[in-house]
Order: sequence, then C-alpha cells, then structure tokens
Amino acid sequence: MKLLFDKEFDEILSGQVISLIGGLIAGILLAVYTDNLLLIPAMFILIPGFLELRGNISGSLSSRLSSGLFLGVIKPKIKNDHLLNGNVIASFILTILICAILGLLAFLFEYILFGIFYIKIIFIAVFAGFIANAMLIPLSVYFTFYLFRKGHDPNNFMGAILTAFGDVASVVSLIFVVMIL
Amino acid sequence: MSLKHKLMRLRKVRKSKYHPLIKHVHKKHNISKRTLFYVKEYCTHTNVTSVIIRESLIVLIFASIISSFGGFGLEKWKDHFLVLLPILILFPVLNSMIGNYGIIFSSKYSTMLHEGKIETHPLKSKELMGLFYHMIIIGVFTATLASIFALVFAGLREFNVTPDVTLKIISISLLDSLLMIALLFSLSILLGNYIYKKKEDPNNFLIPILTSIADFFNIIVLIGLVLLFF
Repeated sequence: MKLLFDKEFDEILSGQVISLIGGLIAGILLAVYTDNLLLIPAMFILIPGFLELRGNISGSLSSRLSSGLFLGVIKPKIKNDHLLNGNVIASFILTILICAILGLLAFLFEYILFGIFYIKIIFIAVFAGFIANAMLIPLSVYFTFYLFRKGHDPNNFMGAILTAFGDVASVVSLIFVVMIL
Repeated sequence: MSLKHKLMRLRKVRKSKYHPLIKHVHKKHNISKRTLFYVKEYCTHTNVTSVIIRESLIVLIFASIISSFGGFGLEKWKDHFLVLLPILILFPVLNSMIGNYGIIFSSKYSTMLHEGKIETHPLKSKELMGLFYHMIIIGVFTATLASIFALVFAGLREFNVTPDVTLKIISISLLDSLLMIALLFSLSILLGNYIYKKKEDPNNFLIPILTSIADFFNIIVLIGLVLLFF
C-alpha cells in the first residue's frame, strides 16, 4: 500500500488537481455565459480544439525552453536572446495560423453539415487565440524560468499549470471577443 | 580545429543531415549528443522561428482536424449539453484531465522503452502496471470530486439536482475517466512499441497523437454516456 502511494502518485495527483481547478473555473464560466457564448453557431465545434491549442503551443514552448535551460544554451533571464525570441515569435505565429484553421474548420463544418453561414467564427477564433496567448506565452516563459531558477524541473509542473491557466484564459478571451465583436 | 569552430560548423549543417562531426565532438569533448542536436537544430540566428513553425505545423493541423470532428459531435448534440448544466461544467475538466493522462502515459512509457525496462510483455512490467493503478485511483478520485463540484455549482444556478441526477452525473464522469484511462493505456503500449520498433523516438510522436485521440474519444464517449443515461 505504501508503495502504491509514492512520490510519483503525489506528483500526478497534484497535477490533476491543478487541472481540475482550472477546468472547473472554465466550465463555470461556460455555464454562466452560455447565452453569450454557446448559442453562437459553430462555437461547440471550435471549443475543443481551441482549449487544446493552449497546451499544444504553450506546453511545447515551455518544454523547448526547459530543454534549452538544462542544456545551458538558454539563460533563465528574460532578455534579448535569439533562442528565446525565436521561440516566442514562433509560438505567436503558430497560434494565429492554427486559430485561423480552427475557425475555418468550424465555419465549414457548420455551413456544410448544418447549413448555417457564420463567417464571424473565424475572426472570433483568431482574435480570441491572440488574446489568450498574449496572456499565456509570457506566463509560460516567466514560470519556466522561475521554476528553473528555484531548482525545479519545469517539465514536472508546467503541463498542469498551463492546462489550468490555459482553460481559463481561453474561455475568458472567447467571452471577451464575442462580447466586443 | 577548436571546439568553437567545430560548433560553428555544426550550426551550418542542414538539420535533416546527420553529420559525423556530431560523433567526433561528442567523443572528443564529452558534450552530450542532445546538446549538439540542440546546437544543430536551433543555434543559428535566422532559423529558430522557421524550424519550430515547420516542425510543429503539421502535427497541430492534424490535432485541429481531429478536435473539430469531436466538436462536430458536440455541436450536433448541443441541446443535451446546454440543458445538462453539470455536464457542461464537467466538459473542460474531463477534457483537461484526460489529455493529461495521455501525456503522462506516453511520456512515461517512452522513457521506460528507452531505459530498456520493457523487455518482455509490457503487462508484466511492475512499473507500468503501478502507473496504471495510480491512474485508476487518481481517475476515480478526481472524477468524483469534479462531479460533486459541478453538481454543487449547477444547483446554485437553479439546476434541479435530484439523487437520480447526482448518481447519473457521477457515473458518467467515472465511466468516462475509467474508459479513457484504459483506452490510453492500451494505445500507448501498442503505438509506443510500434514506433520504437521503427527506430523512432516515441516522445516525438506519441504525445501529440495520444492527446488528439484522447480529446476526440473523450467527446465521443461523453456524448455516448449522456445519450445512454439521459
């Protein structure tokens, strides 16, 4: 029994509880803003990919930075460094491209399968993606460097941190963009 | 030739080519192959952004298409989700947690393969089975906890939380988590072994493939369970 509840168990459980908190906040926001958000055509098609994107892009960014930090080719300080700049710029470009693709797929699915022409979903995806990543990319860089400076392996924590923050940031940015557009 | 000159030369080598210089620098200067890979992959001022975009784009597009198919299922049955407030609240929670199970299984199984810990049948590995039992216990705990929070909040939003609904919501959350843990565990073994036998690094393929599959099947299983119970 003692072997089953070891350090690995604690680490995985902690990560899952952090994800659970982030997911619950995102779920509650979805429930509260159902009328503004979920009644929009194609929004349900967009949401799974949109939520996944934060982990895929910011998670990969954090993982690449962690590798660079451990290898000593990146210094854990936010400064004008070509590796850091390249990573951040690439993450932003990928966000815009993939959000546009997600928006386009949502638009096409909705039009072809449900007969609803709602092109605004592409703009919602791109603007919301940009806002969410404007919050998450600096956060990923800051926390990765911070954890490394404190002697931790960022890989063990960043997945859970980014999933939790990512879910909340994604839903908040979608609500914000839907309200202003 | 000094080490600096060798590293400068290495930076100019096309990333798709394996250069003998890597082996030479690795042996002579005791610099790890991972460091040299990083130097060759990213250490020119011009190509960091383009390398990352080029290598990530296809996987991300693939993941987007799979997610959109899952989203199509949600859109088709959205009336069910909009009426069932606890399920709506649970959706991002289950999605995140199940995505994390995919990441944990794939990264840990990849490491076990690299370390030579899976020599006979994978199910005979104590470490792997230990990981599976961890996931089952954590899955039961977190799914129950998430359901309770979702029900409490839905109740506060004037959703009629009866004992029957409570039981159904907890059952959906538990069954979804357990089914997905079993599916991801099986897939990480099958795909991990296949990729490893092809002499590729499972780390590079297993995580994006498994997280996309996890997201897609989570939606399918969730829709199936909601239709079954309600």
